[in-house]
Amino acid sequence: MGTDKVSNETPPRKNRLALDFKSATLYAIRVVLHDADTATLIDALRKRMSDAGAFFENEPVVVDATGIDEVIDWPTLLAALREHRLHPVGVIATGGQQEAACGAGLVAVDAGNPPVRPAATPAPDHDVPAAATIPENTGKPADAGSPPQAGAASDGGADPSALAATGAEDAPVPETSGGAQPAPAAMIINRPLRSGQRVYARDTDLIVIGVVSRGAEVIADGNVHVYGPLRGKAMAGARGDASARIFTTQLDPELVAIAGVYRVIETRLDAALQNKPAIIHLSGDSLQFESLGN
Amino acid sequence: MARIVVVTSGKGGVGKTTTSASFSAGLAMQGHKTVVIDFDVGLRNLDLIMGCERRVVYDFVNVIQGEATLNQALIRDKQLENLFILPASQTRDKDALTKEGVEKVLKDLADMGFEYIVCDSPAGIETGALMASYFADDALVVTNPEVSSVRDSDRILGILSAKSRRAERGEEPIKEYLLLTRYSAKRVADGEMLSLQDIEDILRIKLVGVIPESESVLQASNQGIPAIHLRDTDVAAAYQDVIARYLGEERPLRFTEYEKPGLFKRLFGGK
Repeated sequence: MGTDKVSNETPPRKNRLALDFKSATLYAIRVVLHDADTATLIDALRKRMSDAGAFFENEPVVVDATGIDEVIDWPTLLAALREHRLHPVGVIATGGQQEAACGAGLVAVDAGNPPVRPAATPAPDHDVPAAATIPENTGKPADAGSPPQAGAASDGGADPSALAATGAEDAPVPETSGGAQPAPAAMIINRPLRSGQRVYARDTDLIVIGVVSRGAEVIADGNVHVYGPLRGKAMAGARGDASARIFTTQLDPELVAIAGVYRVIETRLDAALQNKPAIIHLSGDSLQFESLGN
Repeated sequence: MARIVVVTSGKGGVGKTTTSASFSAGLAMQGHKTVVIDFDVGLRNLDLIMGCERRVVYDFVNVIQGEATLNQALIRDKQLENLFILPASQTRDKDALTKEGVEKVLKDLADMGFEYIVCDSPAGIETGALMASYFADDALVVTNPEVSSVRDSDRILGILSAKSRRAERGEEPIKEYLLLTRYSAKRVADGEMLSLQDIEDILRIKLVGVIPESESVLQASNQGIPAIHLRDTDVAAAYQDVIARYLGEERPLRFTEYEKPGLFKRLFGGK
């Protein structure tokens, strides 16, 4: 899935291009080098891969050589990676190191900034889900998780095999679909919420810094965090995510709900919970209240 | 540039009109040219409380609809030459109030040299109340120490922060001031009434004053005089404190502590 940079018009059939260039986000394993000695590296790699089993196999790999001053033997290292069914596609390095790596067929990559998550804006009122039911396994993950990072530290030794550099494919970064669009960043509300006001954070968490008054409603598809007295209604997992939770520094709500399972708080809660920091989560069909203690 | 102050509450009967009268009189007493406008179309009260009900010829709606000029409609207060009243219409209803109409009147008043324009809001959150607060720079949120009043004040605060011109234009928000009225220190001490601290914790806005419950308020409205004129009463003193604090002076709170009367006082009279 990529962002389409070409116009959306479909030209008439006989003029349609045989191929198209679009953009993609790639999640890869970043192999961080801590030693320049080839033998050491190869041995460490062997150890790591045998521990990990098939976990990292067939993954695209970016080699991070920013911690190494001496230029390493790229062709040998790359051959070793490929032997372990890892596919080196890029390098993070500077100067001579980068040149050498690119000479061996890698593309210089900028680890740079994580994909900018679009700021979350409140979902319009008419969109607020009425009462979500507990799902059968839907719900994309609440956030686009960071790519698994294998810090392949180097230890021990092995014999360097002098294999020739592999063919330098000049192909652009493979368009392996690198995961879904990043979910919007958590919505942060930095003002008190008054009676009658309602905020709904779609597809993400809601963080309120301030009081949530009686009669106010805070709703999120993800978690709800209130840094202040929670006196109104809080609803997490509004579209069915039963793993969502409600966090607050001062628990005093009118009503709490997670994934549609709700509870009206009519009488004072237990002294350990009332007006204290607490977490509410859903366990099966019932809401569990947990004090965050002192 | 005139400063527009709305006196609002959400809840009815808490003391908005009483406060509008005394607040505008207090500002005029400090030398500021002040006008107070009654936004309660159809249920006008301000003219009674100010004692000018027999001098109403033209009203706010007449001016908006071009049937009269401001000069014809404005009533000058008998006691204070800096104070003017713009009464509400009794025969029309709130649909006669339009944003453009209200905006023009406010602008014309500012052009006439008024320093403060006090808008006496009706109760509720409908057109009248929305119009009264839409153009405000400051808001006095009048609250009784009582649960339904506090909740309604909370509601109106939400509306002020969302539905005012300043909110729509992303300008600096309306400055909100909490004014507690009908406060009885004794009942707070007895646990019958919400205390000042409880209310501040719920509403979390700056407190501009506490007006104690008093029989003087009824006497004042019967006489058609703003309560602030009844010298030597606690209500008048409390309103004077409010004016001072609003204008930037620091004053300690009065009338909030209950002192249990001594034995003799309890035996021989006193509450």
